[in-house]
This record gives sequence, structure tokens and C-alpha cells, in this order.
Amino acid sequence: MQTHDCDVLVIGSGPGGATTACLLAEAGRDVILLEEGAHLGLDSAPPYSIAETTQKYRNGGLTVALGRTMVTCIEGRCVGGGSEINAALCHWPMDQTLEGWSERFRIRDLSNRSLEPFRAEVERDLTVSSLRGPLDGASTILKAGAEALGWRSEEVQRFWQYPDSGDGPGQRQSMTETLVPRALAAGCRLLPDTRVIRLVLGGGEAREARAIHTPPGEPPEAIRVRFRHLFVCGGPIQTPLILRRSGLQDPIGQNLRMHPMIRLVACFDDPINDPTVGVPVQQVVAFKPEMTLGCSQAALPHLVMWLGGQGEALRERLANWQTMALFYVLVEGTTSGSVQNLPLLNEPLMRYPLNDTDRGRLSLALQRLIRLLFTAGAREIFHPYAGHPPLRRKLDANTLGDRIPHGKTAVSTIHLFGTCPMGEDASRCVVDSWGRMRALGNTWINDASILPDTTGVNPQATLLAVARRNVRHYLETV
Amino acid sequence: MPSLAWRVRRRLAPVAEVVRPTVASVVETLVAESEGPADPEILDRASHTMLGRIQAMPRYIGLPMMAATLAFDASGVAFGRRPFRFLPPEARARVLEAWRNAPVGVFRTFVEFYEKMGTFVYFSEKDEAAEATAGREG
Repeated sequence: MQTHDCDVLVIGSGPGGATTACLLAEAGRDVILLEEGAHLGLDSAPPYSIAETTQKYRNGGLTVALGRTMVTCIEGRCVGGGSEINAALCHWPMDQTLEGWSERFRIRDLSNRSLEPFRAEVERDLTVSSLRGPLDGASTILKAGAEALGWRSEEVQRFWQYPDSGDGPGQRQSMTETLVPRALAAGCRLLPDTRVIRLVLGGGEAREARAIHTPPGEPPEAIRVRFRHLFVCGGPIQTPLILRRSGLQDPIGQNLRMHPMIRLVACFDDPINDPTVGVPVQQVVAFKPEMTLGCSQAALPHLVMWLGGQGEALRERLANWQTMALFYVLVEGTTSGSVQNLPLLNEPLMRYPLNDTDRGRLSLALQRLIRLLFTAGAREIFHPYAGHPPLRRKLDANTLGDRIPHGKTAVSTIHLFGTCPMGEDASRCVVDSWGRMRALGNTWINDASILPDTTGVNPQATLLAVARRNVRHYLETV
Repeated sequence: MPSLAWRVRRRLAPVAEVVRPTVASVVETLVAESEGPADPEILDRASHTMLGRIQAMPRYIGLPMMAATLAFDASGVAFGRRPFRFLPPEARARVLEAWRNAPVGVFRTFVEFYEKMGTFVYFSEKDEAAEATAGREG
């Protein structure tokens, strides 16, 4: 078995892991960064294509949280993690969100004010930018509908770099574009295609990681990595899984939180859909943090996916697919699920019981979105519940009922949290206020699993700032 | 030593090939609903990709999905005395409609999965083929 030694091992190269590896390597630490997926970069496949989902999504994007309504969970599985496949939206949490976390989980020194220096660094290092050029068609619709109804909407900034000349579409600033190259330049060793099976524990510490390294086209090889300190940054599903496989138990993997979302397709009289513009950036923020209304990438294959089950009606509509766009509602989930390890299969068993409040929020958000889209000139909206005829006027939104029914609509999530929450409440917080594990003295967790509850906004910016805060604290105190 | 999951996947590879004609026929029927007869070449690629998707799912979902695909194929016997993949288009549409409106949730979930993922894969493959052709012509 091949053995690697280092000062600090970082497991997972998503936003939390890349931040950790970069800052530690730049501080002179000897760092190894392990990543289960491949090192591909942004240009390996067109965004949101079938090739990209094959290359960079865990289980091809088909991981599911079980419950009466199943929730499809999407996770990145490549160097850079979720930052390689998401919309790169930069949204900071509301004051009330961080205050609520601090109070309920007894987190020390966490507020927008204390995060301010880290926020500034994140905005600088990942080049936060406003959209250059005109809004895309779907965003324009959303903005017009919100204005007519008196609801606040805004263009969300993105981690995006435009060329100095001012021309061109610019480039998403994912981890493989920013912090991973910096970490490597500072001497960090990256081991992609390496899946951690378990940690070897002893004396209240993690001693080494046992992993399987599978270079492309070669047979799997068992390796071990020895370290002094360990940062686990595998994300809200993989981090608890690794720890539970290593023999640690509750509360690790409890408290799974998420933003459930539902998409629907709306038709307009004129062409509004240009899939080459990428992800639309306008959001209705009047109902944040509880709910967000927005628009999604909508090339023809995506539209067809969300129009499934329309039968003959679909054929007619697809002839004019440029007049259709894809919109979503996203809500703060109010209940908690769990992530456990399935023995022998080494796979996560996720449960999330979408409760009445979540279903009520989703229904209300859909009704608001439908009202907005008809106000903005929608001719027809495809019903988000299977087997229902399309909606043709605002009043049809009443057919949605007070809560979305179980099993009648596709619910998914791209934002997961909370499976190893931070805080000083030892009964339910797996790590302290700066990510250090209670059960293992030499181990920290620094990914979205430590965010104890939903952020109400896209969580990447919050995670990047909190991860910096925790690494800074580690460097100053350990 | 490779995990049990890895070994299970290796062992099931030949089984997956048995399912592929049914996967192709379900996607073909759904595509017929949305845009007419499917292009055989694209359908072939889409069925491979679709099967890859099912194999990539967590085992506790992927294996039941494969079993459900076989059961769906067998259910064609009740409608036309032959497995689904050998039925004519009208009879296939009837089987699909029966599962789509079945009182049992898992039947509906099965059709919904294929409606979403099958059509997404087919239209993605079609887009890719069109781009490749445009590239050659350009």
C-alpha cells in the first residue's frame, strides 16, 4: 500500500476544501488535497450538458433523499466540487439568518459584521461582478412581472471575470480557476480520483486516511495518507458518511437541512429563450429568506425534461420552444433529515421528510410565481403537478391547493446543509464554533455541513467566508 | 480491496445489457409522443447513456429501477401478449399510459423518471449530433 505523509490533509476540493488547502499552503503548511472526482476544469464539457452531468455530478445527478416526496439532490464530484457546476451566484446571508444560527446553536462570533473582512477577501479573490450587457429574456420577464406587482427583484452578482477589454461573455470563477491553482502554486499536493474509505482513529484523534486511488484507465489502488491535522471538507453528504464509516456516530449526519425547489415551464407570445446566455441572474427577493423566485438554464433538452408527460400537446409546443422558459421556486426547508451509511454498499442513505410547512411554502411560492408570470404576459404555464392541464389564467393557480401533494411533482435541491453543525451546544453540534470536532482533537470540518441551518440564499458565498474565518482561527490558535 | 458496491456493479454489467432494449423502447415511445419517430442512431446512443445513468445511481435506487424496467417490459404481455419492447407503437402507448395513471405511486414514479431523464438524454444526444454535423460542415 502506497503511503503519503503530510502536515495537513484536506479531504474534498469544493469551496470549503479549496479555501482550506489554499490558505494553509500559502501559510507554509505541507498540505495534501484529496478529491474523489477527476481534475477536469471548466472547459471539459458544455455547462449543464449531459456530458457535464456524467463527468462532474455525483451519481450523474441522480442522488435522492427518501421520503413521501422524494427529493433529488445534486452534488458536484470533481476537483472544485459544486463550484464547477453551479451558477456562481454570490449572495450574502441576511443578518437575521446568522443571528438565528448564533442563538439556536450558540455559535461564537458569527455575524455579517465579523465576517466582513472575509467577505471582502472572497469578493476580491473570486472577482464578484455584475452582469455586463442586457438581461436575458427570462430575467427580463421576471423583472417586469415583479415590478408590476410591486415585489422587489434584483440582479444577483456572480463570481465572474470579464476580460479587461470589456468584450466577451467572461468566465465563471470556480475553484479550478481560482483557489486550487493558488494552492498548487503554494506547494499543495493534489490527489484527484481518490476516494476516502475511512479514517483510522486512535487516542481521540484521526491517525490516517485509507483511500482508493483510481487513475483514469488504471486499476484501483489502495493508499493511505498520514497527517498531523485533518480537515474534512467532503460536503453535507460525504463528510458525515466518511466519519460514520470510520466508527463515529450521532449526532453526525443528523440535522440534514435543505432548500427544496420546484421548476415549471411558461410559454410567451414572443421568443425569449436564448440558451447561449447561460444562467439567468434575476431573482425576486421580496420574500427572502423564506422563498426565492428565479429563472433557470433552459436549452431544449432541459425544457423537454420538465415538460415530460404532456403527450401530444408537447409536440405542438416544442415547435416554438424559443417562446418558453424555465422558472423555479426555492424555499427554506423547515424540517431536518439525516444521512447514514448503508453497510457493505458504502453509500449514503438520505432521508428528508418534506413536512406540511415546506409543502405549504412551496405551494405559496408556486402560486406567486404563476401570478407573476401571467402578469408579465405568459400565455400558458405548464402545471407543476403531473396529470394536470396547463394553466391559462391567474386564477388557475388556485388548483395548486394549500400544500403541494406528495408524489405529484418533482422536487429537487442543490443546497444542502447542517449534517455536522457548528456551535457550542455539545448535544447537537459536531464541531465547535470554528469547525474543530468534539470527538477528534486533531480534526476540523470546513464545508457546508457545518452551516447549521438553511441560508435562505445561495450558500456558496457564505461558505467561502465562513471557511476562511475558520482557517484563520486555526492558523492563529493551533 | 475493491468495495462490495464496485464488485456488484462489475457483476451486474451483463444484466444491464439485458435491460437495454427495453430502455431503448421506452425512450423511443416517449420521444414519439413529443416529436414523432426517433432517429435510430440517436436512440441507440441515448439508450446507452440512459443505462449508464441507471448504473450510476446509488445501488439501492438503481437496482430497483432496473428491476422495474424488466417488470415494465413484462407488463406488455397483459396488453399485447408480448413484452413491451416487441409491441407495436399503439400498444406501447397504452402500456405507458396505464403505468402513468396507475394507482400505485412507484409505477407513476417509474414513468416520470423515464419522461424526464429519457427525453433529456435523447434531446441532448440529438443536440450533440447536430452540433457535430454543423462542425463537420463548417
